[in-house]
Amino acid sequence: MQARRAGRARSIGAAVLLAFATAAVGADCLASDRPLALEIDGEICLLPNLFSCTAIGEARGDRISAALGHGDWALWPPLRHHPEAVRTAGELEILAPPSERHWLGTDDRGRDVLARLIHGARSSLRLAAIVAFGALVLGLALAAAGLAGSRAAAAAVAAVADLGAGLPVILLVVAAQGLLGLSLAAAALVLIAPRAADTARIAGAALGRALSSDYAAAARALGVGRAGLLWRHALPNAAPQLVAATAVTASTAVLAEIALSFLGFGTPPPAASWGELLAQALAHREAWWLLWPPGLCVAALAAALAFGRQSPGR
Amino acid sequence: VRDVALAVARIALAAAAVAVAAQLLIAAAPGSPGERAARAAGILPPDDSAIPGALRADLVSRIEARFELDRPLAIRVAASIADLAGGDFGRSWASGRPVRGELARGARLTLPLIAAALVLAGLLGVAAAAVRGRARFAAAAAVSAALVAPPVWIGLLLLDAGAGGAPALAAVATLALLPAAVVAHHAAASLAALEASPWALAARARGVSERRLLWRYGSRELGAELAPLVPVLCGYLLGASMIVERVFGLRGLGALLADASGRGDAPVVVGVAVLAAVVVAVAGAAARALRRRCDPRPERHAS
Repeated sequence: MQARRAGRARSIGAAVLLAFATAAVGADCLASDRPLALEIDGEICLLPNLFSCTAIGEARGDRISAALGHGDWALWPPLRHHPEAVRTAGELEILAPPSERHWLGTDDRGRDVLARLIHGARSSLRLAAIVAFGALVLGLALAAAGLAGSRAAAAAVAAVADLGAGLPVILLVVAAQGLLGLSLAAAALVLIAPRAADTARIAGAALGRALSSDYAAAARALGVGRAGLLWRHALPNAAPQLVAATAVTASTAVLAEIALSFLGFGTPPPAASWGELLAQALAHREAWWLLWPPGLCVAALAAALAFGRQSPGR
Repeated sequence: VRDVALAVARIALAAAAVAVAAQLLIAAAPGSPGERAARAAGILPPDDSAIPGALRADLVSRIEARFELDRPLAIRVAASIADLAGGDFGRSWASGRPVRGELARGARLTLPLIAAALVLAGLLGVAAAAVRGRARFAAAAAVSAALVAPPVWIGLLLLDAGAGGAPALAAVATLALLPAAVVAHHAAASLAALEASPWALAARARGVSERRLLWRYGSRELGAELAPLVPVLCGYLLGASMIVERVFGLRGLGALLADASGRGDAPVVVGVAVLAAVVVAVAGAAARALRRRCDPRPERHAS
């Protein structure tokens, strides 16, 4: 019963994560002021929202609609707003409540909130992907170096893991940006270091266990080399632990990006981010459409990450 | 005495490690530290292409001399450690005032906030775990919700509900939410273990009342289980307080760090980072002491 409930929670979490990931990857096809495809003067453009198109040049939004003549057509994305476009059809609508034109209203620069919400998912998940990949690769490299007998690698892992365990990542990232200058690269680096140390610790233990097992001894007796043993036998057996560690990394990074953008130390403007929308909600307290949509998205994401992280069999 | 010495050494080591890492980062940052100090102080504008080279070099060298940035890196690192040992955090690049005073002002707000949130989280968490009967499901649901509630959003919702009148109280409530859920999880596990333990059965057979069982035995069991959480939660609270202070307009360590970081005021940034490391290390030492008091057996290492 409990296992089934946990399984259901996990699949709901996975579905929510998948929805957010789809929104992040397909943001340009969900919300853009350039069509997905159009025919103009007998010339067909595919995906002008992603690639340049000579027929319409740099035209956007209503200027494209106006240019369409008889017999021309355009296939628009569900939401016809660009997340960074300030004017809608030439008009400036600042802090407009939800309407037919702007389903979730506009922010304090007249940009469409729903478009920024969809593109904001991308900012979070992109940083999470970079950090998860970096921590996994660096962690595996450190673990392999530790297994190969490198004292320095083992000491570095222990030192960073000890120091990074208690210190809050948000504080560390803001501090590092104060010392190094504002950059997302510095943020990614600070997020990667403690997680790489943790991954290295976990990977080292799992790989070591696999290497000292009977099947590893059997493979060694068959003449399999050390690298082959690690790659073919130890790594697949350590995979569940590595996946769990990487999931923790990704969820830390996703939530850190939102918090950092809220503080003004995350995704640089004018790119969209949920944290930036929440910061606007703080500045413009009467605009509930700036507070609820991103807040609910962050809560749903945090819940999905928490459910998805419960590994099976625990 | 040995334990105390060991704890002090651990705290000093954490502070020194953060200070050294910070000095290395300052040296690794683009541009010379002197230039960045001049910019943080407002002596050089962000775009200094209009300033003649000789004047610029003179300004930078003066700033370097004032903040002793003209010494080699190894000397700077050693000097910063020596200063820290004497309780000296240097001077702010932006204001020229001692960092120590600014840290003290921020800590006076933030540290009580964190301590209050920790206490509130402990009380709420243990209460949620100890609830019996029908209220149990409500408590479990509240714990699950608190576990995933983002502090940014909760704070903003509280602000909307009119909590801006008592910002410190609202900040403590927002901060305590997630730690309370974590405490409830651990406390529930430890109370379940207590009820199933053979010595609880033996005590009951001797006629010990349920309440006394919980007070006399449960408190030690809980103390041993919850002690290791203290440093982890302290770390979380230090990070979350940055957000909560922004939401409720409080000027504590978080606001100090955010402002200093935005200006590139390195000495203040380093001061806050070192202070945070010390707070977490002190919490770790306190947790180890508490755990040993509640359960003198040597620590079992989690597999």
